[in-house]
Formats: sequence, structure tokens, C-alpha cells
Amino acid sequence: MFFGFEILVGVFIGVLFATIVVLVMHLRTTSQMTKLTFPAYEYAIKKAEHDADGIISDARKRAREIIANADKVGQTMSGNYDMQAKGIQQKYEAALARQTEKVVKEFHTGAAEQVQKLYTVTSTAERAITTEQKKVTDNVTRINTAIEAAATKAEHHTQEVIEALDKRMERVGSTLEGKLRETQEGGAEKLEQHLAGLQGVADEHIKVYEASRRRLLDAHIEQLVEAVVMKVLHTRLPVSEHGSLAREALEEAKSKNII
Amino acid sequence: MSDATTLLARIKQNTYSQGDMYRRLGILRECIEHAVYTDTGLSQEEECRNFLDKVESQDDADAVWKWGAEVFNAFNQQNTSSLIHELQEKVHTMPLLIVYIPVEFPQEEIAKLGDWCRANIDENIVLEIHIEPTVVGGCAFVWNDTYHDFSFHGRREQVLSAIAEEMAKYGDES
Repeated sequence: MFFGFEILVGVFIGVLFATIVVLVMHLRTTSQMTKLTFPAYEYAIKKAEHDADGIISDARKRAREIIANADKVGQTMSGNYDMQAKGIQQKYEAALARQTEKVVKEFHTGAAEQVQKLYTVTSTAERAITTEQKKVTDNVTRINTAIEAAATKAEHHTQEVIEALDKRMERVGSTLEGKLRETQEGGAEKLEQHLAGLQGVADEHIKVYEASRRRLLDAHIEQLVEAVVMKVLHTRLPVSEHGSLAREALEEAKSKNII
Repeated sequence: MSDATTLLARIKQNTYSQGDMYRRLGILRECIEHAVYTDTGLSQEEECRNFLDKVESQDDADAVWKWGAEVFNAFNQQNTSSLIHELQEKVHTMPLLIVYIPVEFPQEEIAKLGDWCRANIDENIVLEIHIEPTVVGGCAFVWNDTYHDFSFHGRREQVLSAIAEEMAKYGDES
């Protein structure tokens, strides 16, 4: 049992030592590998940068050449276009002048014809107007003559009507005056009768009013007397008198066979 | 003197209204019960006197005392309840005159009124008195369930018509 434990401790120590040795070897190997691979990596990067700079320089040169060629070609084409435009403009101006001259000539010719036609129409119309004006003047003269005759006739007729109306008014006035005189005489009589009737009605009303006022006054007086009597009886009468009056009241009732 | 009728005749001598009658009969009952059931060596009349002296309403106590020893001595332990009951029944059947008077009457005026009624209407009549200020100058009463007004207010038509006649004469003269 004791030896078994020693062996176990020995094995453990051995395994621990071996692990440490393996760990140390691993670290050393990794470090050496790093040292070996770094220069190659750096060289590759630098070479790539150098190649890229060369490519960019070539590309710039090529671009400058292309821009210069395009500039030359553009200038040449622009000169050609200017020449063509000038030619076209000269042709257009000449054609326009010719067209304008032709139109002016045609216009002058047409205008003269139109003026001549217009003059003819105006002369015809003037003659017709003169003829019509003469007719209208004649008609107006005739109408004025007829109106004057009618006015004279109407004035005469009106005068006759006024005279007839005056005569009739005179007759009606006379009739009215007579009727009014009759009415006035009869009306005064009727008015007197009516006033007499009204006086009678008014007298009746006064009597009725007087009677009603008297009744109202009597009623007020009765109420006043009753109130005063009751007040006096209440305040001034001794109790023995009240008793006496009460017995008298019963005696009266007895005399009337009520009790 | 144990007859209820006789006792009532004595009681009626100074009691005219129905209210007084019932109230005084109540006092009599208490008085008799006190006297009958108290054994102090005193006579029944003396016991009644002692009791009545302690009653609050001395007017009623005096009226009961005036009924006299014959009334007090008519009761004993055996008949008190039945006799009081009989008296109340008789009062209940007495004819009733309801009278309206203008002012409160003293006892002597009530007595005059009651005596007149018993002399002229019915000897057993009791009154029921009410105060009514409007019946001044007389009185009003209810008899056989009918109201009659014999006051100035009730007869004012006669009085005032006479006044109106005089007024009319005055108006005609003027």
C-alpha cells in the first residue's frame, strides 16, 4: 500500500514535467515561425505598391493624350459649323426680301381696286339717301298740316264741352242748394228729437248709477256698522252682559220652538 | 245613597258641561280608590279630603268636594268600579247642547246658562262650551245636529236692513 502511493506521486510528477516540456517547445516553435514569415510578407506588399504606382502613371499619360486629341477635333468642327450658318443666313435674307417686295406690289394693286369699288357704292348710297330725305321732308310737312287742323278742331270742341259743363254745374248747384235747404230744416227737427232721446237715456243712466252707488255705499256702511258694533260689543261689554245676551238668545230660540 | 241616578242628581248641581263632568268623575274615581284602599284609620270622607287637597286643579277638587259626604260614602271596595262606570254611562246618554259663546264665561255664568237650559229645555242636559268671538251679542248653538246662530252676526241682516232703510230715507230727503 505504501509503495503504491509513492509510485502514484512519481507518475504525477513525471506527467507534470512532461507537460511543462511540451509547453515550452510549443512556445519556441511559434516564435521562430513568426520570425521567418514576416520579411516575405513585407516584400510582397511593397512590390504590389510599386506595380500599382506604375499602372496609375500610365493611365494618367493616356488620359492627357485623349483630352488633347478631343480638343483639336472640337475646334475643327466648330469652324465648319460657323461657315455653314453664315451661308444659310445670307440665303434666307435674300428670299425674304424678294417675298416682301412681291407682297407689297400685290397689296397696292388690291387696295386700288377696293377703293374704286367703295367709291361706287358710296355714290349710289348718297343718291338714295337724298331721295329718301326729300320724301321724309314732304311727309313731315303733310303731318304738321294735319296736326294743326286737328288741334284747331279739338280746341273748338273743348270750348264747347266746357260751356256745356258750366251750364250743367249751374243746374246741379241749384238742385243741391234746394235739397240742402230741405234737409237742414228737417234735420234740425230730427236732431232735436235725437238729443231729447239721448237726454232721457243719460237721465236713466244717472238714476241707475246713483242707485248702484247708493247700494254700494249702503253695503259699505253696513259692513262698517257691523264691524264697529262687533268691536264695541267685544271690548266694552262685561262678561255678565255677554252671559245675559247668550241666555236671551236661547230664550228667543225657545220662543221660536227651535229648542 | 248608592243609586247612580241619585248620585248623578247631586253631581249635576254644580257641573254643567260635559268636559267638566268627565274630568270630575275621573277625579272622583281616583279619590274613592285612594280612600277605599288606604287604611290609615281616618274616615273615607277625611281620606277624600286629603286626596282632593293634593289635586292640581283645585276648582275641580272644590266642585267634587261640594258633592258632599253622601257621595263619598256611597262607594266601597265592591261597588266603586261598577258605580263609576254606571255614572259615566249615564253622562254619556244625557242630552247635549253645543253652545258657542263670544268670550270665556266664569263658572257662575256657566251655572246660570246651565240652570236655564235644565229649567227650560231638559233637566238632564249637559253643555259643550266653545269660544267663538264672532258670535258676540248673543250665542250660537247646535241642537239636534243643526247649527243656529242667534248672535249679532247671525241677526245682522235684520239689524242692517233697518239701518239701510234709515239710510235710504236720509238719501231721499237729501
